Amino acid sequence: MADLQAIAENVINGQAPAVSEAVQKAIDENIPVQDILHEGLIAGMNVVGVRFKNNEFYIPEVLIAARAMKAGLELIRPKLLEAKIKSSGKVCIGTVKGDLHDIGKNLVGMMLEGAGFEVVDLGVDVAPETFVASVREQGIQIVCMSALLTTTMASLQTTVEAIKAAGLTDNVRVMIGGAPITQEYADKIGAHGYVADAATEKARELIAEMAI
Amino acid sequence: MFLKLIACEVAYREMCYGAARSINQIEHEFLSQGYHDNPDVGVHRIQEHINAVEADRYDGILIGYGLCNNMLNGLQATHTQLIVPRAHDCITFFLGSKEQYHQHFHANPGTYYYTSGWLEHRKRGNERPKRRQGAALGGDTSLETMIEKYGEENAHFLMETLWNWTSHYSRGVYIDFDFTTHLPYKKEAQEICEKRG
Repeated sequence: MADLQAIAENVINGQAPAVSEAVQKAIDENIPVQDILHEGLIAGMNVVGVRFKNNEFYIPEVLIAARAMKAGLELIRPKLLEAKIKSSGKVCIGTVKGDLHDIGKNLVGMMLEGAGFEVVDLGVDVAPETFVASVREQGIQIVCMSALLTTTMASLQTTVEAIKAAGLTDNVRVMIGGAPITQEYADKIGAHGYVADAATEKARELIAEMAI
Repeated sequence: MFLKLIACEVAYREMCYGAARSINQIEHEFLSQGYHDNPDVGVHRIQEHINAVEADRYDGILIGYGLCNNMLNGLQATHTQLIVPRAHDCITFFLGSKEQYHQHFHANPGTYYYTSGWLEHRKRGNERPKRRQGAALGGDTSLETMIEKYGEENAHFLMETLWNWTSHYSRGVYIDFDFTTHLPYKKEAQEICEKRG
């Protein structure tokens, strides 16, 4: 009998091969794919998110957990598409124009994937028009962008303005992050969300807000 | 004027050169470059040094820092006026102006800047608070420790992920001055660039 709890445990402990093995076993035993996703993989990542927030887990632990989660997700992805299971939301993510520092961006991307979001990674040094095109063409609900340097912080504002100028503000929410960013700055430039960590909770909130 | 300078040691030679040529008299104190990695500690240390300045002795306190990841946020003058440059970070000083830096930065975002101070500050042995910033969140741990903690496969993945940021830098620039040409750092910067590809 496949053990969804074991999938979650192995995600928490960052054991990618063990996650793959347990997920494959669950697939072979015809466990519903949404159960594998929600009670196994996402349940594990939720614990990781809480431990990270409580300073019990640090970046390396989160990274290996996200990697383990991804290994399991790859196995069930075709079945998720087949069963037309909706993701938690569709986000695009990138560091802004001029900024090449992507550890935080990658981490947030992995955490969002771990929480069941569909993530389009636009990479580093992403121009405002690329974010706009992604929203237009890929049905993006949340734009996530980061800047590590005060030098590149201004690009966050330029991108928010470009999204506004393109008339997309009603369709999309903007989340920003990065070492020099504060809530005050997010408010000033008109971004909808800022969190120092635990981006997944904020993303869920924003998606829920859009659904109203 | 008689001025007090509180500055980052990374700009030691440049600041001393400026002070020597100034019409003002400047008394200097240099603090650890290590605060760059943990601005929360840095802002406290800079404030401590401002507080320790003798009242009514100087015409002003020069702050030899850029904004440096908001490290100057919240600094307070207690009795003597603070004079703060409008710069994002010290590269502005080394390149001469914020306009120059802006131009270079946007023309070549993947540039890693080297100066004599950057290459020699560690030899001064000043305080280095625990890093808080992204590039080193676990990345300064050795591969052996990682293997011990997370297993072989995870350790290699972590090293690759945590050091991936260096791969986005495609160009190294060494900023040299007449008064630093006698130092061996230009060659050292070249060697680092070659090593990092």
